[in-house]
Amino acid sequence: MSTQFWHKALVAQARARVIAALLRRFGDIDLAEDAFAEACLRAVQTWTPTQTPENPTAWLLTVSRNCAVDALRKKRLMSDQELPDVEAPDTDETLLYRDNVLRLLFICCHPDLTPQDQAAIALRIVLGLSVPEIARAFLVPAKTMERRIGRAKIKITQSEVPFDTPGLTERSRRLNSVMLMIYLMFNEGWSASAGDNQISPRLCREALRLVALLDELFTAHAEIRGMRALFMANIARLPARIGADQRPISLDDQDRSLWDHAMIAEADQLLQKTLRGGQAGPYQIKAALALTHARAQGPEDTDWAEIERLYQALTLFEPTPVVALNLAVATGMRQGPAAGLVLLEPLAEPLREYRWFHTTRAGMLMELGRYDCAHGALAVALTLNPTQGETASIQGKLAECDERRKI
Amino acid sequence: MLYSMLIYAAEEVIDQYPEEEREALIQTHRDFQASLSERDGFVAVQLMPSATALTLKPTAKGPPIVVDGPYAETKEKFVGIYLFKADDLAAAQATVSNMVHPFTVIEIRPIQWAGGDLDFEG
Repeated sequence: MSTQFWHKALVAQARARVIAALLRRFGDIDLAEDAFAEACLRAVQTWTPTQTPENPTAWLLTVSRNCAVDALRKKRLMSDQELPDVEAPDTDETLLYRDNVLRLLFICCHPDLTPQDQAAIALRIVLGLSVPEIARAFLVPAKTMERRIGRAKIKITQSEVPFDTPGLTERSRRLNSVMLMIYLMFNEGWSASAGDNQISPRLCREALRLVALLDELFTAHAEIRGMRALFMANIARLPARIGADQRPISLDDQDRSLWDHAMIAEADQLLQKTLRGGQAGPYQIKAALALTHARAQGPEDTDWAEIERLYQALTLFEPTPVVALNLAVATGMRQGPAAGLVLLEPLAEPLREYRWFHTTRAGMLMELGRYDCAHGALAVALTLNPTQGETASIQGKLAECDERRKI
Repeated sequence: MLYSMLIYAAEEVIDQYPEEEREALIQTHRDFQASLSERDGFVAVQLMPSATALTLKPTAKGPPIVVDGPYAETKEKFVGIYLFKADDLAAAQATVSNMVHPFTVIEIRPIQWAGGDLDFEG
């Protein structure tokens, strides 16, 4: 019997919660995954579109739990292992989902794993993607991904993170790790670092699913909601961002009619709801930045004053040179290139190996007619491993500088 | 008589419809709208997903409390509404019967009053 899309949707919706609850009960990821797979098989055999259980998650959890107990009983015939006390009275499962799912995501963020491997194992275990699917999302060969996930799984299986309900501090520490992992997963998809700067929309969408899952479990968390809005505002622009060669098209050159305006509007509403709470944070500010760009009809329509304010706010949370560079760009757009250059000056040292610093500076210098200086900045950018597309653009500007210098 | 068709759907399933299933679903609405237009016209509203909802509940005194999310936390969420004309309840029922799909529940409710002067654009 082929698996229907609606069946997949119901199962996908339940997976993280059920696996997390099973892991808590049995303490064994493999057992949890096998039992869940078995329960899904039974769901295919018994559910119809008009006759699904009132609560599919609870149905799958109960059936999986019975499957796990059966599996343990069979094993017990062969070994003398003690069965876990599965007959113990149930506490309210819905209350447990939240911290159990968080724990499941948190053990994927094992400090010995690279951010990419943390993301890969989370996609495998929490969202149930197959290894080939994950490999495609990361734009690496399936064999490579299989090895990496195998190693990652051994790591997290040995995890000693306790199952107790975490205290406030511990819960917030886990949330921070998990949110960072999801954020890096999104960025990996947005401008994939491994695959020669290709974009992986799948990875972006899976990161959105993970943050949506967190958002459903931690409804009052402003930064989770902010991250969800941020991802949506960016994913809505993906159709215009991917060129025919799978390489990114810059915001200014995108065909804005290709944007998913319904998704942008939804992200906007989510962010407005979040901002009511008055707990500002970097992800909400980044969402507001993305939405300010998304609201503009065209590049010339961009509200640079708002963008400048938002980058000033972001500086309070992330006082990094890259944020300062973005602020300088916004200031340059609003007050003119001279004002932008003043802000760029202190960044020359920390960002000396950052391509975009030099191309940004060159752009401002060219606007001011200082083609000699601009030429120098572009020449530096050319030595910092630009992508093919960037190289072409830099060389075009170098030629323009040469041309103008002659006049 | 004016009737309303209230649509309740399992958002999390509809959300994950593959492209062709989604297109087929949208097509049923286009067909429905075309047939209503041929008769007396219609008004339709599609709501954003319930994640965007806020609920205001009364308190004993003072301002209402604001709750994150839709009013009713059920498997099917209120996702949209049509207003259309029909001679009687039986005719209204016949009108909407094609709009019932898996994961979608339809409620028919006669309309007491409808009006307004909202400009839908912008």
